[in-house]
Amino acid sequence: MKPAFELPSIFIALFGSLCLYLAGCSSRAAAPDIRYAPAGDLLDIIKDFQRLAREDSYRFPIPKDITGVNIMKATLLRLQDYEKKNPRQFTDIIQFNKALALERLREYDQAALAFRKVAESEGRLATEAAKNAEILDTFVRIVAKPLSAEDPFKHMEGLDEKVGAWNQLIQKHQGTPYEFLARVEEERIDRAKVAFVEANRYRLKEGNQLVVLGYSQLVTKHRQSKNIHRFLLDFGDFYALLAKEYASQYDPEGLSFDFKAFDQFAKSALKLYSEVAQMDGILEKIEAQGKIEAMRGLLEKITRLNR
Amino acid sequence: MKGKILRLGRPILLIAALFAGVPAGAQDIERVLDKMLNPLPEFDPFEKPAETPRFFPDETDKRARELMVDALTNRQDAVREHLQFFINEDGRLQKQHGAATGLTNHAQDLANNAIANRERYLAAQREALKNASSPERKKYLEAIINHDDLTQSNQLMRQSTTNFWGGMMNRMLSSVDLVGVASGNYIGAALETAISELYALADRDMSIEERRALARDLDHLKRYPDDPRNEEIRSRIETLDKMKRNALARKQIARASEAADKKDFEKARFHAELAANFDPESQDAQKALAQALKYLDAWDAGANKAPLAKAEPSRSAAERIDVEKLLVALSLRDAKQLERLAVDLDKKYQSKPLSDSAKDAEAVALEMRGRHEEAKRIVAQLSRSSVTPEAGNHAATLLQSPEYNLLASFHGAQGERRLETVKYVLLGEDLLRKNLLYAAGAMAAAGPAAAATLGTVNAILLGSNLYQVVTNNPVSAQPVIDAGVSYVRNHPNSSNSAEVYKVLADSYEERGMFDRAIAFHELAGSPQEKVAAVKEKAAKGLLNAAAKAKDRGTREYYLTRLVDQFADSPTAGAATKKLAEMAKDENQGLRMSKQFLMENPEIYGPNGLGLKASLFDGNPRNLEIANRGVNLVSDRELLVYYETPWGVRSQSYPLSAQMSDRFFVRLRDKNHQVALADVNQRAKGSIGGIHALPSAVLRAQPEKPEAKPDERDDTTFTLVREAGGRSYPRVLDHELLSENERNPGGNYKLPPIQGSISASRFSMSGALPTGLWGNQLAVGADRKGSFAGVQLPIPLLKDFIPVDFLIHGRPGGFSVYPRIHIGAASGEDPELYR
Repeated sequence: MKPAFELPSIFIALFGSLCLYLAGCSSRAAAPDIRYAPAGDLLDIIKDFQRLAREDSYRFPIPKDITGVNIMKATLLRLQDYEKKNPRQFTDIIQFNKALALERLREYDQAALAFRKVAESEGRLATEAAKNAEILDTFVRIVAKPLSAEDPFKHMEGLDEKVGAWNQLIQKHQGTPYEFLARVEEERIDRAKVAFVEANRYRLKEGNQLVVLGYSQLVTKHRQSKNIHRFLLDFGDFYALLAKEYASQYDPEGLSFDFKAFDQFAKSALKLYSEVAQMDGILEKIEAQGKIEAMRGLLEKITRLNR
Repeated sequence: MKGKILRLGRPILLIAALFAGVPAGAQDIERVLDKMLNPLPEFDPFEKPAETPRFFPDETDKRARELMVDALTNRQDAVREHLQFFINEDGRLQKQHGAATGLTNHAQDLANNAIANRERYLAAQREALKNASSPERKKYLEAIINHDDLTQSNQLMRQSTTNFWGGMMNRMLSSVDLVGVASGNYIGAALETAISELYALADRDMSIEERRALARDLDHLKRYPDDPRNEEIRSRIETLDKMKRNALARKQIARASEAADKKDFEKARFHAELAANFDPESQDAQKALAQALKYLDAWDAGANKAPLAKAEPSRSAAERIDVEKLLVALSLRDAKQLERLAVDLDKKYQSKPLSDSAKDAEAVALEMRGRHEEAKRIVAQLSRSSVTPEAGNHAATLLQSPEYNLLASFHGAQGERRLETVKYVLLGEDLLRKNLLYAAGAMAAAGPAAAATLGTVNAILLGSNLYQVVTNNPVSAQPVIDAGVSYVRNHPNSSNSAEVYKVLADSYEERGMFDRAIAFHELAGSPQEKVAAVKEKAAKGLLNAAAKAKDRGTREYYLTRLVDQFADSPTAGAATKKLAEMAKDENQGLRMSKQFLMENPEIYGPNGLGLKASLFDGNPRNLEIANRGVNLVSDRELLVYYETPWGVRSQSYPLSAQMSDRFFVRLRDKNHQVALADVNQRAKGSIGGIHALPSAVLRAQPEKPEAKPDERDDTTFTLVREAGGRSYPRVLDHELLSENERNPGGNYKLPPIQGSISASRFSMSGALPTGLWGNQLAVGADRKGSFAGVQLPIPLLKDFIPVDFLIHGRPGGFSVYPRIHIGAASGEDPELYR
């Protein structure tokens, strides 16, 4: 028989464990409401904007402010509200920062307009604004250049010309925020080219090969882009589409179906999905994991049908 | 060379022959020398092919042909007539010669297959089962009857009910010693039972059997839309479908609630919406959705307030000029000027509100210059001491923002993991339940004195959890990795990056992702010894992976990767050696060991490779095959290893196309036989046929010419070009070994053993191999003392009442525990019914 005094100590230990467990389970402290307090004066608004506004908009997505909202959009709203509450105060500074936020949101014509307003004033801001307005005019001209809607080859030529024009701007404005903005635009056109070929692949000779080539070039050229994981997933999706099309064209239960051809399309898709799924700290990981599971299901189904 | 040896050897042999007094002609000497140089002269290891059976058509043959034609043209009356003929003919032959045509069963199958009505079809098969002539035929017919959807569904529903009630009974009976109860000790047992039941009822989920039954019922409806029992089946489907929707919704609600606890309301809404989709009538799902939406609305309302600005405070003219200067510098992102201005203004307006703004502006300037950690330090300082409380609060909020303070998120994730780990060590997965279970029985039996026993139990649980954490921490490091990667991606040159790189390296190392661990160790500037140690671990991991790889390609891939990536590691030498071994001719092609061939005589016999039986008789005088067996180098060449007095010698023989085809047909046939064999008779791991037989051999696809080397390059385009189909070589690189060669000593290994803690003592139990009478063996000690026992099915009750008795023998008596026999989850694709 063990001594009875051991009993309380064991219960105390158990009780302690229980308390610790409950403490761990309890919800975290509620988010402080101070996050949602109105921004302070203009200095506070501009400080927060400039603190978070990264220059490299090609490699990084637009940051979120402390409330979790896109800093460019939030700044525009805050400046608008500030203008209402403090009319005719620091107009040039407000317009200049609005222009900065607008250009990051790819509203080049509005940004150029705001810069031109600042350029009419005097001082350092005016000089800089005039220069920026001029650059943005080039941006607007390239964006607005029409593309042929009749002839697919002329459409492609038009896209190629735009890529060339953006490339020239990248070289010209190397090391400034406009280099990154031009890169963003170049990337968008490159992606649009692949999308165009993909949409018209059955009209083009060896269309599927061209799409694969396009995606390969896209993911090689824009390895540094913030969108690389999206491109890899899209590339994987294209292979998945080829696999599904192959399975629709040749009945997997029939004799004409070549499992190896299907399997190679599926494996190529899986390879690209896995590349994304093994990256840490990106949201596309969840999507890639789901796509891998989906592809496993398709492979299993087709394998059984073909058996 | 041979000529040289002959020239040298001839005089020696002549001399030896003279001394021996034997006249030796030049021809004899050459023969002896040839024999010495080639120990396998002209030996033909193949049997002469058996004569093709000659066949003279008779009435039976004519009937068989007609039967097939009538079955194909669906002439049921004629098929029945042929069946009757074969029944009569077999009866006659049995009486006269004791033999039969063996065609009656086939005729019966063809006749039965033509029946479209389910009930009649099954009745005909049951009738055939009654008259089954052999156990194989019986098994075959049983399989046909059991394959019926509705039969399967009914069986599954019965199994589900049995498992549910059996499980409940077993939980009750597990603490009921019939001998003990007979002597009046049942309070402890009752308490244990009540607690187990409470937990089990709370965990009630839809069983896999019920889900399978639902799928089978739906198949039945599709296959037999006019079956008279369909009304009843539809009603069962409705009930099961409702259960399934409830179960799916419950799981999503649990996830939504878990996400809401973590303040992840987007995720909570996602799962709540899914739950509502699964079961639109579920009140719980609606409640969870409403709660998530409420929180999200609150967030939106707060976020809408944030874009508001305040009126500009009144300032003196000098202050206004300074503010404007700051604003211009900020707008132009002129970091140098901004920093200079900020420092000056901080001094100028000391203890005034503008000094807060100046300090903060300095932080922004540092941020612009990429000195994030320094900037953060200023913000932290501001949060601790500021002139205005607004500035302090704003700085504190900024530091809490995961977007701005990624390092804090990283440290938070680290801290969270540590806390979870400690919680796991202290509490494990279900400490409360385990304690209640152990405490109830022990307290009832021994009163407060049982507390000591309970303490011991908890100490053991704690130790086991600690061991688990140290060897393989079950608390995931993924959140730490995600936060760390996010930090270094955003601030690669930050002064704190090295610390983060180090943690990331350790986390990846813990997860066995050595490539990344090495990269991060190098970035973190870890000592060379540490990097070398991780490299060695990685190399060993690749070597192990190569050893476990089933096919040659994968093995080669791992080994070459090891040699390429870790050329300096000590393991690279071993990998190179293995690669060299693999490159040898004798290690390529389809290899079959002597033991494997002896266990499968059909494969080497006259209907297989056609090797002489004398090669396997153990008599070295008529030449014996070596343990390495044979190697099918290509589909036209066989390499045979012989055991000779000079050691193992190999000889290559051509194979005719006919022999090669015959061999592959026999191999597939043997595989089929193995698959059909009784579970107690075939080798371990041979479900579905010979262990790891390449699927390409099984599928017997026609061999196609190899692609040209220039087409084989793995460019992306080859995928499209290969849509026409490229084939594999017919003779694959593979090794077929007997079970004992594959897993030496495997036959003598102990079955999986489970251990359990009962009060302060121990018990161990292990499953006995199938085929023995008992199905579980246990040794240990419980509160009544040491025991050794066996779980026995009761032969008399077998197939009547599914009860086993667990008998424990112990000094001074024995205990008997009844146990309901529960069916384990069986059937293919369990994941499709989860």
